[in-house]
Amino acid sequence: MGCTDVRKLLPPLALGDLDAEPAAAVADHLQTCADCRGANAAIARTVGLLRTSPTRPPSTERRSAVVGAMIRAHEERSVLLLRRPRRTWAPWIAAAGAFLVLLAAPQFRIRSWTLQVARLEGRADLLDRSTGTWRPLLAAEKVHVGDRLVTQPGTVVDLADGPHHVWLDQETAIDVVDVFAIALDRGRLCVSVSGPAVEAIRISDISNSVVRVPEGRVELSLRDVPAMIGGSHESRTGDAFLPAARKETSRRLVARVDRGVAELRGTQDQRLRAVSGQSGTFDAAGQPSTAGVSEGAIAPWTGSDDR
Amino acid sequence: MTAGEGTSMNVEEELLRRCARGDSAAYRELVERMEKPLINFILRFVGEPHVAEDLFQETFVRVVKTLGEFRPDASLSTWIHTIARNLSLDWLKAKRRHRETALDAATSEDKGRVIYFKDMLRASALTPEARAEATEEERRVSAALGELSPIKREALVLRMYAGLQYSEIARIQNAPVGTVKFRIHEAIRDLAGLLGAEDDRASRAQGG
Repeated sequence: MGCTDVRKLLPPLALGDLDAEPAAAVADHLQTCADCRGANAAIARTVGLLRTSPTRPPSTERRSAVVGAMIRAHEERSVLLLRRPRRTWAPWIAAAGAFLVLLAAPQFRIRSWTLQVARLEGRADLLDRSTGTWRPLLAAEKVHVGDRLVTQPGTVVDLADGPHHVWLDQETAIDVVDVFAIALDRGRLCVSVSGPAVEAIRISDISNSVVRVPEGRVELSLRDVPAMIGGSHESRTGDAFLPAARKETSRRLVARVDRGVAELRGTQDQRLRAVSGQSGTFDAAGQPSTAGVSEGAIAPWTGSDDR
Repeated sequence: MTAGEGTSMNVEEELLRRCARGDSAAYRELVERMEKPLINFILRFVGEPHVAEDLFQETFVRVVKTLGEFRPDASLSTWIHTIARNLSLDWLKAKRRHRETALDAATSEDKGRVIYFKDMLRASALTPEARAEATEEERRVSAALGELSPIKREALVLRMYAGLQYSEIARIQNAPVGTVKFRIHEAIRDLAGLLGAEDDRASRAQGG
């Protein structure tokens, strides 16, 4: 076997893909050829680097976010399946029925929510769930329930719907999960609700804490707080084990109220109300806590100050 | 099919059935089963950790939305990696479109295609922030991966980082197993050459 043939077989040899016979022939050749030995060492080193390259699992928070997003997707899908017409004439009957309902009872409205991009500085990406494709968000574009938005560094986006405003700070990821409901996965946003008898906006985080803003202007962000994970447990024979407690960070939704009020609900249904000049959150143990917010400290990024 | 593969298929089918019912414990199990190879594959493909995590999340959302399209003749991991790969490619295309619009609105189609591949090559290398966190070795491997052709890099990353079988990669790339093996072997040879050339440059620089 010549050098050219041997060189071709070095990568499969390093990966263990070569049968015994050609592997033995390559090994024989390597004993007599210094150049091919050098080439083999380089290949083996490369494969070694690839194999030992560290692999990073996603964070615990991200894992919970993924499961939360899957549950939401399942719910959306179930609704779509229920809405799917069984007969070709079904849409006409449904449309006629809806028209009659709208005529007869103005209090029943089809529940949908559209936010328009009122201002876009920098770059944000929008995921169109109907096609599953990402594309850059455009100025004056409409964002609907089911859309996902991710802002890039240095970007500020203002989404508006009449009395509602939602400003997204840079490096923020949101899902518009329902009518007047947004899930905050990363970053910081500010909501403003103004006017009488206006629907409240709900912001949830990945652990399903919810902040309801019925009126005013509130900044919502995710803050990392230290959390202790671990503790003792007993085996079947009754022996106690004391695994070392690990210190990890856990992400909490923090509401800082500039005007109006924010109603917080924790994962164990704890309740907290923060008013103007206060920030509210649940600590690592789930206890509600409030603190004062100095004037002018809220939502300092450009564009969100509508006072 | 071996007995082990059969059992694994049964476990996967049962898991998917539970997922189809909206069982949140099944979702968590599915994510934990797939997370390590999948996040590493996406990260090596798009090169930006935040984007990789978003695409990782979106992959599982797509899994829930398209559960009915899963064909049991493919493995679960092949199917999920295919979804992740398509989402990653879409993201790279969107990034390319954005850059093209910013640079030159009148780019011809052929020129655009060249930029597209260049963009993909650049994208595989880690971003400056990610690079700062990475070790020196990781940085070198990542930079060298960015020099490979996209098709070879995809095959190599699916094999070495996602740990997929050749037959699974063949399904994802829609190519014969022999072609996939050839691409991976070529990729390793190219990578060894690139890393060796960098070593030579470094030793010359030290010598001079």
